[in-house]
Amino acid sequence: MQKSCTMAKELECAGNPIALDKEGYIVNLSDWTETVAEAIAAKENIELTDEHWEVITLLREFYAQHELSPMMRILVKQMKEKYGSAKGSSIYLMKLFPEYPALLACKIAGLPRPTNCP
Amino acid sequence: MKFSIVIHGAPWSSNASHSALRYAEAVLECGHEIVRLFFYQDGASNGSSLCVPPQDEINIPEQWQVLINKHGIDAVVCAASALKRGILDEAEADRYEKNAHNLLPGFAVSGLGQLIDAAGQSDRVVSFVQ
Amino acid sequence: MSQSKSPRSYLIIARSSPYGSQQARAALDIALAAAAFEQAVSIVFMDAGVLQLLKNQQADAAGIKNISKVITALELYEVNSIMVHQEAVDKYDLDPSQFVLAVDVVTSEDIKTLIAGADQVMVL
Repeated sequence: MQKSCTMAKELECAGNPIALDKEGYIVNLSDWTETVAEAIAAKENIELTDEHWEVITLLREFYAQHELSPMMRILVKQMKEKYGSAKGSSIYLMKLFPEYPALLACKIAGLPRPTNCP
Repeated sequence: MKFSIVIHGAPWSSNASHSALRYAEAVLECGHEIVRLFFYQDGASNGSSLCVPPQDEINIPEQWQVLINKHGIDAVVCAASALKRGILDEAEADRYEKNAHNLLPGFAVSGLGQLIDAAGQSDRVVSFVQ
Repeated sequence: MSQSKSPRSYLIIARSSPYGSQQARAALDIALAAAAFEQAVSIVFMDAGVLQLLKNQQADAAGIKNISKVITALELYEVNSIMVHQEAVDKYDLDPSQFVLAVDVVTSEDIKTLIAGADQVMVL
């Protein structure tokens, strides 16, 4: 069952190398900056707009307050409370962060990588 | 009756796991059904293929595997619990770039949602804590 | 009786001290997961479990995660009812004003009724 080890990837960010794991999550949460977020997003082919930043800020505040990454349903609910019902929907989040919005948004926001399956 | 069994203890740290194993056997012997076994927290260690107890002691993970395969039981190891404790299947070893995997065949890795789902289908959820 | 996927009622009995083991966090994770799957969840803090509710926990000083921060997420996840056992409050000489969120104080009799009325009871 031995397997060969691969090296973690790095993200070149304003001249500083930031360690990433195989799926592009930052290895050290303290490495996160807004510039790092933009670089991670770029790797995912996303250009961050004000709408993206609303979600990222909400996630980071939620994490700071509860030490949890919110599940999708809770993220939607929080968006609704803070930014109104047009932005509090999973479709809206899907448009900003395609496929797995909760995972992708967490990745860009520099939250711990979720260990449970989506 | 439909049962789900939650195992919170590691194989030899307490009697929780061994008692749960005996209980699961008894449930089936009495003609009841097991909806799911859910290995949570230290219980995740029951999924290790690398336990080597002395020959005069029961190999608890292996006995779980025998039971699971014999009766085709749905057995889930909590992903978050397992990862922390070094219990990985092949896909996760690959994802987290670890050099080996050790989850016994018959066990599946998934989230706490599987416990809630099991509870929704069961008449009784019986937990073995310490 | 079984087969049903409609919401069930869960009673989580959290009776472990916040940092003596992983049990406290495990109970909260089950409560949050059940609530996230839109089940009807109630949680009652008993015995040393009441200590999880205290304000001003400085877990970061020990390099570990702060249980009370997770507890304040229970309401956001729509956990129906957050309760504390009167006897435990008295035993540790506490007052609900010392807790990180508003809780209902319940008696042993109340807890008996809650257990009898819940579809699933989990004690950690």
